[in-house]
Amino acid sequence: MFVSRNRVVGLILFFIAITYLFLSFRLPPYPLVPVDSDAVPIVLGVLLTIFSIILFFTKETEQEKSEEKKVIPENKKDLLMLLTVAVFIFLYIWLLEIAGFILTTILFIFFTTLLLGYKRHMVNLIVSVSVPVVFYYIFSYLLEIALPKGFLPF
Amino acid sequence: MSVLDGMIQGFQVAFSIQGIMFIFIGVLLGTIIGMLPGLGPITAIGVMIPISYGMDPNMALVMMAGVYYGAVFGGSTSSILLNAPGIAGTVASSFDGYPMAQQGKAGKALAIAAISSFVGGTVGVILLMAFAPVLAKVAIVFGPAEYFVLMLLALTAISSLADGSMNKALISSVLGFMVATIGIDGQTGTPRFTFGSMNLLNGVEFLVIALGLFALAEVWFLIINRKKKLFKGDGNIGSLRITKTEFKEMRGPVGRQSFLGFILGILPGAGATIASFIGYITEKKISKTPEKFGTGSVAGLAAPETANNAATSGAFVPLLSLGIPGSGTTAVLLGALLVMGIQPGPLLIQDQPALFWGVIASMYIGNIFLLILNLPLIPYISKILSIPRAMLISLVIVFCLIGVYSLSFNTFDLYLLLVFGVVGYLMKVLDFPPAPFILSFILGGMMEQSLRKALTISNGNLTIFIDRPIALSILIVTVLALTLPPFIRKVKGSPTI
Repeated sequence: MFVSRNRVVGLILFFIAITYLFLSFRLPPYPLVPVDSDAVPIVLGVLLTIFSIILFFTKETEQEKSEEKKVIPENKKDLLMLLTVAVFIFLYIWLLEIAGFILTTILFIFFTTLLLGYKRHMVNLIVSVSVPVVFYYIFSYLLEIALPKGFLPF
Repeated sequence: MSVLDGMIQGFQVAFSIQGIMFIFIGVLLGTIIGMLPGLGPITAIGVMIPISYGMDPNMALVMMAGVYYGAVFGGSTSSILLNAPGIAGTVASSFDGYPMAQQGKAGKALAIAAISSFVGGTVGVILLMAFAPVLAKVAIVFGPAEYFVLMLLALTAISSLADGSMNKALISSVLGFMVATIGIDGQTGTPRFTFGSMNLLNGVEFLVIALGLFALAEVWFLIINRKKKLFKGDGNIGSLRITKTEFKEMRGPVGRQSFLGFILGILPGAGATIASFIGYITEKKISKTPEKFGTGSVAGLAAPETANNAATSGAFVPLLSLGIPGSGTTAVLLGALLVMGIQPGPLLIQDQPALFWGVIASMYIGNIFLLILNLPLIPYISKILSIPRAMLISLVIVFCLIGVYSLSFNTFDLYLLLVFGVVGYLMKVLDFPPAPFILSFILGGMMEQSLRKALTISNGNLTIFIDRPIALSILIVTVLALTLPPFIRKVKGSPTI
């Protein structure tokens, strides 16, 4: 028999609650206030502990079971796609301050769109170049927000 | 200064050329973002924050308000044309709107939606003008104790009214509150849960949560469903004309739901979604031809559309006059206002009447713009739905990343955004509603401070919440909000509305 989701999630939340409580109790005391900085966190930790235990013992309804299917990747291909996009985002963040906004964004939009199966490469190229350039202009000149330049001169 | 002077100032703000321009920009962008599948007012407001950052607060506020009700308006378009509501508030509109569109009467459905929304929105604004100052006057005597119980009420109400499991909604609120406790404690200066990281000392940026849990989380679903075509039609939506009999059919529901929707919008935790469902259900109950509902009934479309827009205006009442948001969306709007340096609350109407009345006055103009945008121009605007999904996904990701970056200039926040994007996805997969999370995240800091202020006043005595009559009555309502809905559900035997 397969383990119910509520059990797994309840258990994870229970551990989060215990860790949070543990950290709350270790907060340094401050003598001059009637309610110290650990009071609210302790209440929250206790509440989460209780709710996670309730969740652990809650039976899943039929409705929940049938709804699950829609939102979970049906096959490994979709899951792989999600992970690849996540890696792309990670790379984007990592490169943003090194290579600059314009270059990084051009690469990101072009390759993510390509990865997701868009076939008209010319359109893709035009969009992925024009969007960052227009954005850069709006942010730097109209809004006076400096986006990272990177090693490009402009 | 008298109320009238304030109103005149407000109207001057809204009717200035700059004002009109920003209202237009707000409602246009709101409509477009709200129309896109999966993206609702929260994303729309979040993405617009960096743009409003350096603006004159008056203009920024009218624009943001426009983005909000524009997104609610725009959401109905995708509900009708695609049966894919951008936001929960327009789900009920697809019940009759989509069948109508399938019968080749998409234009008619859009026209009915636009007119109902316009009336609902406008009546809502008139009521807002009447209610907000009164509530602000009452709230001026509120101390930290009253504020604390009010926010507690907002949180419990949103959890108990949430779709599905109340326990999950409560967990969601507690988790949001926990994230809010990260950073330096405002009263004692103790760093909490920062794990020694400098980046966490100031706490988690609210935009990270808003865009992570709502926009980025939605991106993963768009990726899974990327092969679905957005818009099947050829862009031909048929005639916009409404006949006299249809107009007559609309009159009743629109009139009733303008008021009911507004009242539901004021209530904490309810908002546009619940207003639209209740609007739909009540009209079906009192209709002479309930069997028509769900097959393309005029009343069935007009009711939720009126109600959700009236509720949007209603939601501004607690936000502007108390400074307490009652829903996830208004919580994000409050976050946006705080970024601009505006503190809504009972003093706003006295100290900054131009701001207070300006945003209300702007809604009249905004609703007229929306009517224009949504009636004659809708065939052109709906072309936006033919953007290929692959492109849409990568653009949305970039908007989220840049939105966060331009507020904090810190890549740490971007990694955090990615983390909350994954958390938001998991929450959605596991049926944990994200709205209580964001509401309690934004209210969390304020709640903790007002609780501790109240207890400082009473010298640590908890009876301060029972001794003060207003606080006590709100507390009683809170307990009822927590216990009644599950009880009613059990008695009725139906899971949720």
